[in-house]
Amino acid sequence: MGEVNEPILQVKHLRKQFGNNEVLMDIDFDTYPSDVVCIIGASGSGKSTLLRCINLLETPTQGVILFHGENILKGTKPSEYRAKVGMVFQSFNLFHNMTVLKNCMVGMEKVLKKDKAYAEENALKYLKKVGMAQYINAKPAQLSGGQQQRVAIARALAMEPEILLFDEPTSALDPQMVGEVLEVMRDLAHDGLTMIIVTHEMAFAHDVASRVVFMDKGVIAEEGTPQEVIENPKNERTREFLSRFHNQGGGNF
Amino acid sequence: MKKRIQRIAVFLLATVLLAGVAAGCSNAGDRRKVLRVGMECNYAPYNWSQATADNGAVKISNSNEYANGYDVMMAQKIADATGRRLEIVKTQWGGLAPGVVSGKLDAVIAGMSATSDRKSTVDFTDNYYRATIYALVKKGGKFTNAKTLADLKGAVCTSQQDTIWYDLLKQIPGAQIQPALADVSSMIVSLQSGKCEALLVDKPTALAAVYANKDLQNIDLGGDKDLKVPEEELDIAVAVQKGNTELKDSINKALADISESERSQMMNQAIKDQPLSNGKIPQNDEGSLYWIGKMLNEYGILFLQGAGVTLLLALVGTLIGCIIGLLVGVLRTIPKPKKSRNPLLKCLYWLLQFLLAAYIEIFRGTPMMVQAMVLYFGSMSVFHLDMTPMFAGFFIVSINTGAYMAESVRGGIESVDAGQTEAAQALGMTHWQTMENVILPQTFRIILPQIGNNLIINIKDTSVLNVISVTELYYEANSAAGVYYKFFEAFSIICVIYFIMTFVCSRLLRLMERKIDGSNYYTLVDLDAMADPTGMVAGRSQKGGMHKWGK
Repeated sequence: MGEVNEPILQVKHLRKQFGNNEVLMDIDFDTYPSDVVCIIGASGSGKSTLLRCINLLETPTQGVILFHGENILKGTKPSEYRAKVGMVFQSFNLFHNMTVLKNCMVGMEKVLKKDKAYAEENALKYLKKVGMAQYINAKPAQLSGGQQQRVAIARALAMEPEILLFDEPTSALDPQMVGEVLEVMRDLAHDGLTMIIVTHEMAFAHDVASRVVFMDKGVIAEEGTPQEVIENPKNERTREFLSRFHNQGGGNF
Repeated sequence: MKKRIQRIAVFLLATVLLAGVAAGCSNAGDRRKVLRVGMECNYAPYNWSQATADNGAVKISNSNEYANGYDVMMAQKIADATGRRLEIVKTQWGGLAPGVVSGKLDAVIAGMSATSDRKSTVDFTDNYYRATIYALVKKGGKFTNAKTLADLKGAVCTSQQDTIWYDLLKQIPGAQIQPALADVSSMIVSLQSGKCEALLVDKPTALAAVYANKDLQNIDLGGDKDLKVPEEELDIAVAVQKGNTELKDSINKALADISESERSQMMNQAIKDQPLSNGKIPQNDEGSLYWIGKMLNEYGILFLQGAGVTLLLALVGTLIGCIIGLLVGVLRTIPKPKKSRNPLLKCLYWLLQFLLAAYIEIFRGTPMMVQAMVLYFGSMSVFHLDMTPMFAGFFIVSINTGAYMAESVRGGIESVDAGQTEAAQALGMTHWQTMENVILPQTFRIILPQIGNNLIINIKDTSVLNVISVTELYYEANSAAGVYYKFFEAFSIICVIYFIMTFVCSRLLRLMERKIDGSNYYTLVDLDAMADPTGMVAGRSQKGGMHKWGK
C-alpha cells in the first residue's frame, strides 16, 4: 500500500438489473495498486454480481468501470481488458481437456501470443509458487478440490494480471483444503498483488485485507479497514451479519 | 490436436476432389454418341447380370458385372442401327421411369409393357416383343392341373409391383392377393417356398422360369377368354422421354428392320443363355452351403468390391457429415446478439438459425432413400445436373449424417459446463478461441460414441442407395441372388460381411476413445529436476513416481 497513487480500477454508479430484480444499486469503489479488497456480505447481497460485472461476465445496466482511467464498458475489446484482470472461480473451472501445465499455458499462448517455451517456463514458475509443479502431467479430474483451485490461481497468475479477482475461492472446498488455498492467497497479498476477493472467511479477511467492503441488498453498507468493519462495525446490518459468524464459531479474530 | 485436424481436413479435401474428378470423368465422354439404356438386370430372360462377358454380354456402367438377355441384344441392335455406343445402366424397376423422365436414361428397354398409365409420363416406341400372359404354379401342387383362370380359383397369388400382371390378379376368382414383390426373382422364391401358390407373369418370364426351375409349371392363359387384357398392354416397348420424337423415330426405324422370326429366335437364345439354364447347375437338390460356396466362388470378388464401396461411402459420408455437423452445431450455439446491436445483424442471426433448423429437420425427417431419389433424378430434370450415382451417394450420406451430427454437436457443446467458458473468457479468449481450445475438444470426446453410431448406421443404410444404382454391397448381393434365385444364401453372405464391417469399426472407435481419454494415472515430477527446465521436460516420466487414480 504505502504511497498513494492513481487507482487501477474505479467503479462509479454501477447498477445491474436482472429483469425487475435490482441486484446492484449505485455501487462506487476504487482499487489502488497492492490493495487487497475483501467483499463480505450475505448470500444474494450482490457480491458475486459485482465481481462478475468488473470482469464483464455480466454487462452492467448502468454506470462506468474505469481501468487506468479508461471506461472499459465502451470502446476497447473486452478480451484485451480481461487478459489484464484475472479471475478465480468458486468451482475452479479448469479446462478438463488439458493437463495442469497446459491449463496454465493456453492463455499465454492464445491470448498473449507468447511462444511455447516462454509459456511453459512462466507456467512452471507460478505452479511452483502455488505448490503444484509436481502435478503438471495430471488432468484436473485427477486432482482434489484444493489442488484444482491452486492450479486455477496459477493459471490466472501466469497471465501476469494487474488485478486478480476471487469469487468465493474456498466455498466449494472441504474444510481441510481451505487452508492450503488461503495460504497461497496470503502469500500473494504479501507479494503486493492487487486483489479483490469475495469471501466468507472472516479470519482471512481480517488478517489479509487492506480494505473490507460489506455489501447488503445491492449497496455498499459499510467499508473501511478490517479493524473498522470487522472489529467495530458501525452499521446495524454489518453487526447482525458478523454476529452470525460469531455464533457459528466460524470466526476467530 | 490441431495437426490431426489438419491432416483430416487434407484427407477430406483430397477425397472430395477425387470424387469430383471421378464424377467429372464419367461425364467427359461425348454424350451424343452414347445410348444410355436402363434395365433391372434381374429379369431373365429379358435382362440379367452375370460375372463374365460370355454370350455377348455388355458391361454394366459403373460396375464390374455384365448384362445379357433379350433386352440387351435388342438394345445392342438399336444402338448399332442408330450409330450410338450402348451403355447399360442397372436400375431398380421403380427407378426406370423416373430415370427416363429426368433424362438420366435415354431409354428404358426392360421388358416394360406400354400401358396407358405409363404413357402419361413417358413415350413408347412400337413394340419389340408381344408377351401374352402366363401363370406359374408349383409342379405337383394344388394347381398343377389348372388350365384356365377359373381353375386358379382361391389361389394365394402375387406378382411384381407396378406391373399389369399384378393388376390382372383380381380377375382370378376368389384370389387371395398378396402384396406385390419387387422383382421376378423374389416372386419365384416366394412360389418355391410355398408363400404363394400362383404367379401371373408374361410368356418369356414363364418359359424362362420353368426352363430353369424344374419344380415349376406354367399355364398359358393367352387363349383364355376370361382374362381381359387391353391389347396394348401386351406390347413390350422401349420407353423414351416424352417429346423426344427424334430418338423415338430412330428406334422405330431400327425396330422395323428386325423381323418377327428374328425376334423369336433372339428370345429362344436368351432363354437358353440365362444363367440358370446352364445344364451343370443342379436344381434345388443342393444344400445352402453349396450355393454359398458357389456364389462366393463366382461373385466373391464382386461382394468384396461392393463391401469396399459401402465402406468408402460410409467412411467419407460420416467424415464429411461430422464436419457439416460440427459447423452447423457451432453456428447453432452462437449467442444471441445483444439488444444494443444493430437490427440487420439480428435479422441475419434469425435467418441463419431458421435455415439451420430447417436443414436439420428436413434431412432428419425424411428417409435417406427418398432423398437419394429426389436428389439423383431431381437434379437432372430440374437443374440438368448429371451426377454420377456415386457422387449422389456421397452427397446424400454426408448431408444426412450432418443433420444428425449437428444435434449431437449442439448437445455436446451445451454439456460442457458453462464455467469453463467463463474461465476461458476471463483469460481473454474470444468466442472462437474458446470453442477451438476448450469446448470443441471436449465436445469431440462427448460425441465420439455418436460418431461411431452414425458410421455403423451408414454402413448399413447405404444399402438403400441401390435405388440410384450405387454398386454397393446390397446391390451386388441382389444381383447374385437374382441370377440363381438364391436369396437366403446371398443375403446370409452379406449379413456376415456387414457384421464384420460394423464390428471392426465399433472396436476401432472404442480404441480411439480410450486413446483420447489417456492413461488414468499421472507421473509426479521430481522437484529437484525442475531447477533446470530442460532437464525437467526430459526427466518427467523417468524420475517421477507413479500415482494410480481409480476412475
